[in-house]
Amino acid sequence: MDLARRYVCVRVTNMAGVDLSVYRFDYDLTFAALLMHADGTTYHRYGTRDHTATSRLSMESLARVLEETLKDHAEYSRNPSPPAREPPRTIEQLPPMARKLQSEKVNCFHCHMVNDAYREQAQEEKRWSREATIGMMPLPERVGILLDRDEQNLVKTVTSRSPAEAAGVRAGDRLVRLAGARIRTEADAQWTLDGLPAGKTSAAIELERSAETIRAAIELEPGWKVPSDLEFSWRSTIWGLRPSPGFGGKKLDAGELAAEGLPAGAFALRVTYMVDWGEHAEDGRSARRAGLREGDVVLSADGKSDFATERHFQSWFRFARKPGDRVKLELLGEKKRSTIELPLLP
Amino acid sequence: MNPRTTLVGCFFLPAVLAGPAGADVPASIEWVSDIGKARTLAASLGRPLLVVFR
Repeated sequence: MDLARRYVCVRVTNMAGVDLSVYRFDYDLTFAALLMHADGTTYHRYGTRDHTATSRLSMESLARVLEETLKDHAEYSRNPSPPAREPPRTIEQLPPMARKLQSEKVNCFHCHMVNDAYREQAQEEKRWSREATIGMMPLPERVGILLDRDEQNLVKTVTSRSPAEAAGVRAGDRLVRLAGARIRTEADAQWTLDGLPAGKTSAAIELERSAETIRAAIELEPGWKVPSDLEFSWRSTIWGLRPSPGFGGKKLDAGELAAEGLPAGAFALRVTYMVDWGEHAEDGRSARRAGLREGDVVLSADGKSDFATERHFQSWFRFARKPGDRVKLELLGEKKRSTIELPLLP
Repeated sequence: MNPRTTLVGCFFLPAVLAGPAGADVPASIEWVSDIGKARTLAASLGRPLLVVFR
């Protein structure tokens, strides 16, 4: 495939020195791509995920956006309108990171560290919003649209009784524009949704259905951006949210479940660490005081045991519980079950 | 190497872009690591940029 040869391909493995005012994407991702003009205009974004990591990516969809963007590039290049230049800013210049660098050497700045630094800065400046954080980069499912993996502006399904259904969106429609932005990928849709208010709002949509162009508006109610705990669980951002259980571990695999006499597919988490570092070291001490130890196996939390992943377990505490709550943990030790009560700290 | 499961490890992305799915040897796509130089190159060649963060 010659597609990539028609681009200048850049691979960035370290965010050091990267101008965050130009290269803007979902920094929690471990793989993201921007398709751009040399003047800094971003045509499209590619790369998204959920707790399954790769189910929303495919070679077909990547090739498709590369092909389509060549047309966008040719059209734009005839009459370019470079974006207004913002003052450059790098991760090293963000105040929380700048302070950290005074006492610590950082060899590699990961993408998610940008989000961490932005969050810390917002918290320091008393303008941090939990709702804004958990509502970041909403998947199109938040408005009731599931996009196709391989043709990422093709509506695969529309959720019943969703804002999209109310707006008349149907499976098989092609999402051409959302809130005025040209959509070619799921990441384009997320980026556009990210820019909409979290409260009551309306988003214009343009759809292609057969040869017809349909224009409508999706009406959104307050809270529409809020994801489920599972949907958010893959994000590194969860580590900055409270409350935390103060420990973590590894889900038992099939062999380990069998060895413990547990049914196949059951949730069981072996505790491999208890937090004893940083500003929330007290979380781990609190868990220890409650009776938890490394090596214990956690079977449920307040009776809930349908955690898809360890990250989902972590995310549940942050979404479904609040500081001050006491969570009943069911434990398995030496083939005997017990229950402890874990207080969640502010 | 299954590209579906390893896309996130974008070290193999050039192979996928250059050849049939399943190729596991990075082929002849030249990747630039300096964004500034890449933008200058893209401007002079009149090509768009594909900027991969990984």
